Amino acid sequence: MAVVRFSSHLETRTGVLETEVKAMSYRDLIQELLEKFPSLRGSDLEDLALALDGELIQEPLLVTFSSTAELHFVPKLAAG
Amino acid sequence: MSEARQFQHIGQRTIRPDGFDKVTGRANYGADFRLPGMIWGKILRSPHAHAKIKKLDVSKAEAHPDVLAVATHQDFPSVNSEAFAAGEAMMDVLDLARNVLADKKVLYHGHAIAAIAATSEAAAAMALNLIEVEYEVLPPVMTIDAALAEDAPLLHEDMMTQGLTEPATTPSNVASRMELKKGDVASGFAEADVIVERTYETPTVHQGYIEPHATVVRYDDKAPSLVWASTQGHFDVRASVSKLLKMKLGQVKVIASEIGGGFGGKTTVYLEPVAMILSKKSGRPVKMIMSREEVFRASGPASASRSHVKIGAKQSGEIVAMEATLHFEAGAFKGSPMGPGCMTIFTPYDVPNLFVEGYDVVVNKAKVAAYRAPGAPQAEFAAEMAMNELAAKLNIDPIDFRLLNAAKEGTQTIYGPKLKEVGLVECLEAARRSPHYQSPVGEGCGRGLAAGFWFNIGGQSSVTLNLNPDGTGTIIEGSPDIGGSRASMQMMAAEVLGIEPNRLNPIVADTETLPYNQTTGGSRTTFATGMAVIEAAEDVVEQLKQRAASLWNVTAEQVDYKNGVVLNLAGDDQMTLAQICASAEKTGGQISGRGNVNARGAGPSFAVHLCDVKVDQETGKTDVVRYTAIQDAGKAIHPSYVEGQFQGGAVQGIGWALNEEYVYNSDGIMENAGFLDYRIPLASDLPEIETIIVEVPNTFHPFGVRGVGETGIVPPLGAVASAVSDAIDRPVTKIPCSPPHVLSMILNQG
Repeated sequence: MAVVRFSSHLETRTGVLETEVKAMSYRDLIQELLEKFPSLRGSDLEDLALALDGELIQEPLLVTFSSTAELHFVPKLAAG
Repeated sequence: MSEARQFQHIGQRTIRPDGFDKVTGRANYGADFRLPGMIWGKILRSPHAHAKIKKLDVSKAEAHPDVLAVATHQDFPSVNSEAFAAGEAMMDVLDLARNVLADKKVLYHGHAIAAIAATSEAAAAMALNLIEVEYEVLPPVMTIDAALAEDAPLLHEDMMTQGLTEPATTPSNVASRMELKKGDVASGFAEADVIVERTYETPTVHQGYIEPHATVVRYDDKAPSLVWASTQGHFDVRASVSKLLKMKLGQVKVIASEIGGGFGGKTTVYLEPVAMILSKKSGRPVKMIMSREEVFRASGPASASRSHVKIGAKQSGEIVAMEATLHFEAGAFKGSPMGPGCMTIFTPYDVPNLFVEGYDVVVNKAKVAAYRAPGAPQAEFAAEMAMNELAAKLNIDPIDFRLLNAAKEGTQTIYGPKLKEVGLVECLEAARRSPHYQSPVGEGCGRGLAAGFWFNIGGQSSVTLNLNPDGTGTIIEGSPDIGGSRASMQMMAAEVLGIEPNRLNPIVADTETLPYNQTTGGSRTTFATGMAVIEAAEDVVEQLKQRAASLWNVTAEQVDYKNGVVLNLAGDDQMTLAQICASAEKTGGQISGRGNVNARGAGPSFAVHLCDVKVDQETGKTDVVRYTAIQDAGKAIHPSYVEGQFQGGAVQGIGWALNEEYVYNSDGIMENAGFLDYRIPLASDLPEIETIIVEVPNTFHPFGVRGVGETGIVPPLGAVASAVSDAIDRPVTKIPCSPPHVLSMILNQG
């Protein structure tokens, strides 16, 4: 199963820093995490970018991944 | 992809396509545009850093015969607090409206209060005197300490700190808190043999672009209104104007002028919405230009910061824990780059135990704007100073110390993901081999070294590539060219098409010509817009193959394309790109390729800088006598531009470290709002900045590009301050190292 690692900010809502998920797409991932951690709100995750095996994806809506993927929710990046 | 890949054009030093217009003065910048019937707009600015507006009466100004329109905050349609994507980051539309024209309260000296459009620039300036304002002056909050004080005056009575474990119950000047961690720092520090712990400070500085903000706006209720602006992102100017004035995107057309520097500071709006209001009210096109003083006082500087850093290592040099608390000034409204500061501060190092917390603090200064790698220079300055002090305490060479702990492929960052292939180790090794590092340190000099990290970003870019019947063409992109990107686009398209770059003319199109393009920033343009160019060129190649196949009456699979020529694999025929274009009318019409991307896989970039500084022990004056910038570019598309970015970032960072700072008096008024007193480095101040391009390709880009515009400003603060520290044999904890500060440190040494 894919592994999701949470930031310490998200940990305040999930109670854990890491969890395994059955999902293999971003849409299913959000749904599974919201069901698994009732304190999480959709906006907590949907306002964030996704890092899939180290690749930063600012708009991950259509992303799919394998069962060995490592996923992180990361603040959307801006710059100068 | 292979590192040994051979390119035809990539990596060459071609002639820049925009060079002739720029050196002959033919290029049109923000202030160069005029329209028939155009009038002038001027802004009345606050003489106080913090005050309530008790009364604002514009009636006398409105009655003046030369005045054709007056604008105040009340002219904005009702806007509510709402985050929206504009420029480089999420913005609150209410904050943006209040920054563009103050509502009820002024929050910094120079804050815009009202605007006048009149028949001439002088008449508009004179008419500002007719506006009557009564203030209730409040104590200014000018520092992080003042903002955090228990009895601090509040800038915003309704601002509650976000990001706390328990929701805030009372308002505060702290907009938000952020925390990142990895491992357990307490147990890490328990293993440490040596610990360095210090607090570092950086000042408010300006991006220092040479061209002031300027715009011309013509409101039109029957056709799209026109905005001509000096901006890094005309699509986001359109978004901001539309949002603030409740106009449809299709009602606003923005043309990006040539731009005389931005460095992140031209990623938001100041004048454009005001000029739109004035144009709508007057029925005339309105031109507005900021003076240099207005640029300093009222356009976004970079955050001042205070960073408390603690680093612990074993005697062997292995770092076991790193910890930091960062406070970043946001200026008058929330939204400093504290977040990127937290994310970048320790990323150059592979350390098991990390903890960073950050605070976004509002103060009575102009709202900060992005500045090259926003947040990273301030945060990494603190970390790099502590790293050098720790290396000295451990008696380990600073490069060896960094190599021992360097981030590399697989390193888990504090912000989450593991790094892919990155080039920090290669940069450190190049630094060690460099003639600079191999040379002895001069008499009276100190030597400093620092590493730096920046993410780089991707994002949305759209490109059209049109071919002409003679085989020349136009690359139509939507990324304002602030660093030579047109040359890079030309070269990447030429590489795919196998033709000479100068057969393609790259232009930056307006917001009606292309779909949305993200702002030029985040070192994204050569990476992301480059990917769109490559996609458009590949689209053209497919069409060329189909056209040739149809002429030869074979299938597209029976043709190949190489070096600008289509080959018939079923026979001996071949046609050049130009020949196919010449016959395009017979094969279905002219040829045009399209590339629309939301680019993923931006490649993070590391840099290492070396600096030798000579210090006059009697006056505290500093002279940089040698400087080398080493950075991983992934792949340098145009090496001269890459070197230019390294040098530009280094010079801006040197200025930040040595002399630049906003000097405020006790009333919160900036006392050095001009280039005579705000001292940026001149060419005559500095030696040639030596550069070393490291190339560790980014596997997510077809040519290996990472982006190079920002990382180069991250290491100089630490490299320069460490060199000064070495020269005066005293730890530097505060920049700028201007003569008075350095002399003070020297005199206090005993």
